[in-house]
Amino acid sequence: MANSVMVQHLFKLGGFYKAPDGKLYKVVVSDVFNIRLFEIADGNMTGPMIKIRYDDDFAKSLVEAE
Amino acid sequence: MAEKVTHSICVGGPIAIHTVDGVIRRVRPIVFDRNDPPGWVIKARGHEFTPNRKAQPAFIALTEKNRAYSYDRIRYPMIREDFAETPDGQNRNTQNRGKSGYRRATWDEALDLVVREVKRLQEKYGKETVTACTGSHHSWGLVGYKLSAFARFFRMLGYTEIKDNPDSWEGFTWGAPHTYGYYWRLGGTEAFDLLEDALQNVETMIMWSHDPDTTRGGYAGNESTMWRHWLDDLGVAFIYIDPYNNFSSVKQADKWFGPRPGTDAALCEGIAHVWLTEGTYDKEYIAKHAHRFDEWADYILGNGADRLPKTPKWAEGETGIPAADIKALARRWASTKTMGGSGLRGGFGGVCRTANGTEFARLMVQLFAMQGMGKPGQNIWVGTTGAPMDYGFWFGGYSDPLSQIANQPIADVTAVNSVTQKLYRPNVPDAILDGHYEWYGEGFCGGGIDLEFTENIYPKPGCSKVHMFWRYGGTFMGTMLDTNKWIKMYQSPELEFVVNQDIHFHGEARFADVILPACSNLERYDIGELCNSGNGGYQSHSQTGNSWQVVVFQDKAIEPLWESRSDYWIFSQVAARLGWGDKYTEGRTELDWCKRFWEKSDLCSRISWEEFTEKGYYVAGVPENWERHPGFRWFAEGFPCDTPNHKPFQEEGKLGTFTGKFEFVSESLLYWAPHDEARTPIATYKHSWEGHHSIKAKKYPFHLITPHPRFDYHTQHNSSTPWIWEIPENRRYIDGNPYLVARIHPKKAEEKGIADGDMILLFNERGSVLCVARVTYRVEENTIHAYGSSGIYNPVEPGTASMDIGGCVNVLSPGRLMGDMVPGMAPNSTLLDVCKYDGEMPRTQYFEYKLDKVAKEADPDAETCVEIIEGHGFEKIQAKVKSALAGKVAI
Amino acid sequence: MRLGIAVDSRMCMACYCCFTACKDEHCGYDTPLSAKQPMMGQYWINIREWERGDDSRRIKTATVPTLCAHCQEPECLEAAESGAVYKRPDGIVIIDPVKSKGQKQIADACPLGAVFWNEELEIPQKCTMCAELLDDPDYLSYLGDPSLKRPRCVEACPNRALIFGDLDDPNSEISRLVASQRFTPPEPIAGRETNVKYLNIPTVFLAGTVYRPPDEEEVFIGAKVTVEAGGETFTTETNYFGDWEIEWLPKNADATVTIEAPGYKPVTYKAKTDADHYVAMTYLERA
Repeated sequence: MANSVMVQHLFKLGGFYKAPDGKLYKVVVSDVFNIRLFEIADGNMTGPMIKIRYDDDFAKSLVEAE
Repeated sequence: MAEKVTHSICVGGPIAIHTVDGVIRRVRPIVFDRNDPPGWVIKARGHEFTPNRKAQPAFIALTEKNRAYSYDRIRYPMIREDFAETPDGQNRNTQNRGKSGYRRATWDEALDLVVREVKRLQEKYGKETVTACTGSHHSWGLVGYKLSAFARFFRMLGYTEIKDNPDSWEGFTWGAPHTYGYYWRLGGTEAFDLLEDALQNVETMIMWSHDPDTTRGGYAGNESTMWRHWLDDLGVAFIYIDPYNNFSSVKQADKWFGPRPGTDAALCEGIAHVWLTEGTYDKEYIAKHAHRFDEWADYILGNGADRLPKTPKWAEGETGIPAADIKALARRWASTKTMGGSGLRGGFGGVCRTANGTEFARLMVQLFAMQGMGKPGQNIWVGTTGAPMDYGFWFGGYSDPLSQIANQPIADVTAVNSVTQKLYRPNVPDAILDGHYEWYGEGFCGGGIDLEFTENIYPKPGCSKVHMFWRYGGTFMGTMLDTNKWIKMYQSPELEFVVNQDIHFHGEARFADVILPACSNLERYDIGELCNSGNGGYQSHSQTGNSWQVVVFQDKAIEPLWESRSDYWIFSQVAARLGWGDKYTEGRTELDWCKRFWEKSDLCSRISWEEFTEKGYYVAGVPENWERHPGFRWFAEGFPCDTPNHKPFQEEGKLGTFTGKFEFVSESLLYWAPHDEARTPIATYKHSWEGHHSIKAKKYPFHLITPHPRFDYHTQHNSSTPWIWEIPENRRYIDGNPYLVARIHPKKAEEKGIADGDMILLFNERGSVLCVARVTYRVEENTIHAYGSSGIYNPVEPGTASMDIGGCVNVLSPGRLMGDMVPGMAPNSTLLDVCKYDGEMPRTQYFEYKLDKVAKEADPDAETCVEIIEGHGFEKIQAKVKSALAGKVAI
Repeated sequence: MRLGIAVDSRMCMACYCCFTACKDEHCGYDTPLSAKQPMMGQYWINIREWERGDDSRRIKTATVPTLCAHCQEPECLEAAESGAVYKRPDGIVIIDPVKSKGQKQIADACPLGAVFWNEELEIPQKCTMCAELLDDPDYLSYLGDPSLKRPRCVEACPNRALIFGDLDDPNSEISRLVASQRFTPPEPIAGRETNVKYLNIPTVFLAGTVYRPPDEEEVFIGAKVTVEAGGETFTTETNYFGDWEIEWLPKNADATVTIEAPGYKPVTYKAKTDADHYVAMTYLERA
């Protein structure tokens, strides 16, 4: 019945993640269907709300940041 | 005839507004066109179910035109006639607040006065000396909401925040998490995909303190009404439990039980006794999922410290429901697939706003646990939530920090309040009058169970007392407790300055020194979604209470009437005069802010800004083969939680309790509040501190229940629209005043010599309210029923605790919170008496003359309140606006 | 074509959307076909809501949105002078707001009480089935679908309790609904051919509960209940709550209620179907 991989296992709500290009992202919504991020620049949320699923290429490239 | 069609939403739901020549002509439901997506289709028991192809607001939404042109609109800034701007803040005739009349002021005069006082007070006492508070919803829309424009301003200013008590959830917030977690939903459970589950599986619905066609899923209007017809037609049995055979019950119930108010927990225990003695509960489920069940079972069976078995016969003694009926109820529940719960989404209900509401909430959850909660057709679900929705579409709700202009990402800079002192809404008067107040908890404790136990004191050490109160939107006279004490508070010289900012001249506005006229949301720009209280906020995905997900561009239908202005404009003006206007607005107009919400959500990926503002709304269609994740199914079947908005530990198959199980002895209470008398480690039925076992009952023998109103919402609509006063189950308009209906059982009515339609006085030591009697078999014998949340408040001597003819029954309710450690309100634990009223009948609402005076000073030809209510005043106003817009006359 | 509205009392939850939509449309506005409805005192559509039952043990309500029935042979038209009331080819009955001045007898003539006398303007007024909107080609043109034009009350109803359409088309939704439901015209218009069809208005119920002997504290499930009233016989069995109920009884009849269960003495009651009655909480005695 359940998805075999829970999105929440991989991304912490409120957590920060770094992309290969150096950009920093914050997880603002974490949901069984998808997670949503905002880019963080100079400590501020910027740009559009980004929606990803755990198996997106972009998602796979993210690494947890401090 | 230049007609345009725009859209908006109010608490009653979304509307289409037709404007002709600059005045609103009609307000209709939004009917979808062929370009809007198809509705979902649920297949169940050989049928297909799909919703009507329109958004379905409650009837109050269709009175929005009247609300805009209402007789009680605040038209101009006003200053209290006998207000004196003394340099030391003393001797300002505060004892006359509520009594005095008003004079018209210009915006400059009013705003400059407000700014002078803010500066004077904050310089003298510190920032914390200003406090401010809103109603729950006096409008809809993300820009204008209290956590948005209001919060941005006051956090930037620095002020003592007033924490709201979770008024609709009380027993569930303070009780249920100690049984099964879900503190992040304030004690309510998750209802994802349960509409389909119910249509396919359920056999019995238990509607415990629930009137869905009255409380309408909160903000979902009539979106779910058809669902309950579908279940009816499928042969599902509906059982309603409520001291009042309410409006849903009386049309739909197969059986109504009317327990004496405050005894529902006893009924729970009686039901449990049947299941335990007959072995008719899910033993395997309990063995796996319950913690310290046997100790609670012992208590029920008579092996506890009191040695009292909670038999149906014992429960009959408390509730008044025959023991045989209780057994039949217990057996029906145990032998069929049963869903049910309390209140508009399952974790609400008037029953939880009683002295021992926490105990009921916990016991109710325990009962559902005993029957295998989460299995198909077995769940806490009350027929008002759980429709399919497009979870791939995210748009914020008002409680979501991501959707407030106070915070990033909507704003560039988040507003942060530098003041840490707080007040607690239900007892603000006590704090101001006594100069000291202590309480537990954060009000809305969605962040963790521990938050229920934070210790708060006012004044906070190192902080000054509050000396200025800025009240915004709505009136607490009809919604808070023992509300005559708000009069004393307003008249206290402790409050050197009082501002009121509202659309209507409601009860609390009449106590202010300065009144700032706000406009309705039809007169300004905003953006909002139907019944979206916040994804990720405390009631995530409340849109599952709708048949449709609809985001509305709340276009400005008309220009602000008279001299009213949007709240945002008002705050911007004050901020500018204080020197931080640009920080507050970030250079944005309201329309600019609306676009930010579109930009920072999925809305921009679904529809362009031009299309969205042109069409006026966006419907997020549900994908044809949508993924199902039924609420609580993961727990029942033992796989990692797969529902939206859950906590990490749920993926380990655990609930949000210390043990991860249903706690029949609460470890969290043993940890934090082992000596709490109101909320004991084992939930038990207790005698109410204001109930039929109280000493007070000898003098005031009736229970008063004041549920969420059928003919109003959050005090907003009833006062504005005379047509509603003509609905016989709501009010009767007699000699210029709309009296509220109060219901009494025929047996008691006869004893008191009261006939249907007589004037009846409701009274206790706290106050008195004059109502119209509705003699009916639908109330439990010892109960008086009168809807709460009255937006109309009219004491016959304004500014005193004299008899109220507006129907503010909350003046009768106790100011006491549920328990020393349980900071919840309990208005449904009120005792009172009634008598036939043969006294003098008022000929007015007692406040109109104040508005008429100001209106006529501004325009000698102005319509009086009575002309607008009864005569042609409404037409005259619209005609004047048309003329003014055509450039002929100034209004 | 014969435009009509079906009113399904069973589906109506007295939500007052129809009532409010009508007032929103007509209070304070003159139209080509009608004078403005006054702010208070007239209800071109009203909800007749009444409680049924004489005991807290069983109370129901009936809810009937009530409006002008747009009769084929209207009493108001009969009573009118100078053509002040006329029936359009589409069946809608209109009172001319100019020609009807002073003709109070038009208001008095309506058997349903659906025509109101406006003291100030001295004219009779009633529901127009929103004909002025149906006639207006610009109304709702922004939706791009003329079939979405309906009377305001019908449009506002969330429960499919009001259905609008062509009674002369047997395949229309309204025709199919009327054909499949109980046709229950209110007594004042019984026997008339009308374009507003009242469906599923209940008649009378009798109800009760059956228990085992008092000391047992149990309801009796499966007791046989027979009601003879007005020459008809109705039977049912008590349910899981020991309750029995028979709806749709003939009105104003004498009734005999018999309760039987094997091993117990039968019990008989006399009742009347003048109103809805809860007959008794019956405690059976062993035979």
